[in-house]
Amino acid sequence: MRMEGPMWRRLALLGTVALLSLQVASASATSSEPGGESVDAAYGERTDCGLDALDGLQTDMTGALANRAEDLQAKYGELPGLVAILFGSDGFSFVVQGDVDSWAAIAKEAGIRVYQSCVPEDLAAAVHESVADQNYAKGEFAIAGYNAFTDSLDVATTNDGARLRDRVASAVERLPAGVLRISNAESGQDVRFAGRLADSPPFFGGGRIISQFGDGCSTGFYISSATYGTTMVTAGHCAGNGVQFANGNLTLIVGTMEGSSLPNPDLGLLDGASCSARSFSAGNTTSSKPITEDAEPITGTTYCQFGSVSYRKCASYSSLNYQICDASGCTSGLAFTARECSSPLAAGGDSGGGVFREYADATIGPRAIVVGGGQLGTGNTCFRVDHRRNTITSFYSAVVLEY
Amino acid sequence: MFVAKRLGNLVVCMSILAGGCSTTPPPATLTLPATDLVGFCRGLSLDATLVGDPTDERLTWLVSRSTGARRDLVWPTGYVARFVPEVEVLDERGRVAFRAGDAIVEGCLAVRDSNGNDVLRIAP
Repeated sequence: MRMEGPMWRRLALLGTVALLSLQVASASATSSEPGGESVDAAYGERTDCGLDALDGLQTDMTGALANRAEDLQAKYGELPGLVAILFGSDGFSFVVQGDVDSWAAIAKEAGIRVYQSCVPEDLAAAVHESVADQNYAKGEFAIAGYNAFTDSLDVATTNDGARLRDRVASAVERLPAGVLRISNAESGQDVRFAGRLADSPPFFGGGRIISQFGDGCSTGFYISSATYGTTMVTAGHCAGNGVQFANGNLTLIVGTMEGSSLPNPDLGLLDGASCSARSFSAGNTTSSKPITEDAEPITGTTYCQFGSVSYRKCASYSSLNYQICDASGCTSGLAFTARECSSPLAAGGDSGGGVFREYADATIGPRAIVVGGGQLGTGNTCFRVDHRRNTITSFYSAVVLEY
Repeated sequence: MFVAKRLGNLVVCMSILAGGCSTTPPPATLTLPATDLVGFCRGLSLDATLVGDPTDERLTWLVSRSTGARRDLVWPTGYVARFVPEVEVLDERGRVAFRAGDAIVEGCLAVRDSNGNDVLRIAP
């Protein structure tokens, strides 16, 4: 969703959602105020952090106030420590991190109130970084505020929040669950955090999944199957049917295994929570790319696997019809790639992760999913085998979903 | 002959003084459930510890540190277990490869039985 009009005018309208939750908190919670303290720098008063600080904020923004907000953002938005700008009928309030007193002069000059954020410093810094980022001007960020009711920092966005959540995900992964909540400003629905190791709905490919038995694999990509509906592909050896999988930090259920097949093909589907046609796609835990044009792999072209252990390993296939057998039986029709064992192409837990062609427009095209790997004889050559796109789509009567 | 016999008695007495004439044999080894090593791994990431019990038919298994679930194991042919009293897994050359409590972070699906139970092997 992209909204028209000046940024801060949009924020003024969208801020209603975030502030409503704050007001609910103010009216409902009386004994669970968070620790810390705030400073009303404009008036020189110290008040308890949280409820009192947010009391009186209103949401009936006018055009004039929105323009004023735009001015404030332009003038002070790049200053360190700013977490959020809240606004109401009685004026604007800055939520800052760190030395509140240093903001006193600014507060007097601008006629604003300054409150010390109660959220952890690294989280506040991450959010501020998002605010200050030029992507902000593109409409990603709407408003952030401290929610005393849930003791969290709530951020409302104007769209799916992908860029914003990517920016703060590394901070979120270090924080207790629920400290930072991102919601869509219009729908009010929570926006997911994108992180391989602590993902949330809609789940991406390349994320870590852990079965109820503690076995770890990776999500592949999202498909629509005539038999199973919209599901996330993974490897069949990750679990049999009916086994439940959680995300990487065991806080959310990703889905239950269905359509699991072993040994030929070695494929399975996770059905449950909503997923997205995106995959984590870089050598870190947070960056992701949208999935577009799927196709069959070919030999000699570089593809990258995005499993949740190795993150990003790129190589080209030398064979597309490889068969491998073990105690589970034989798996055939595999794409095969090999290189020196000192630079492995995958590790345990990458299984099920997608293998993609990386396009110049920052999208990725699915070609396969990781099945397994090993060593050729006693030499120094290690290999990885993957199930090709066509094996997946034909076995499940499915099409790959695009972003 | 007489001298040799006396020397023999002396050795016995010295043994008694040194070690109480202990004749305790080395701990018995038990053959572990095995699978042929094929150089291929249907990989899994694990966060588990190795557990063993000589009274359990599997002898060794993994316990997930995150879920507490048990995962049965098979080992390469020739691997054995001994209990001293905690389990040690010896490779085909008799070297200690794993001990009870070892953290295991990577494994392979070895076989899925007819009940859907997965048996793992520890990644080489």
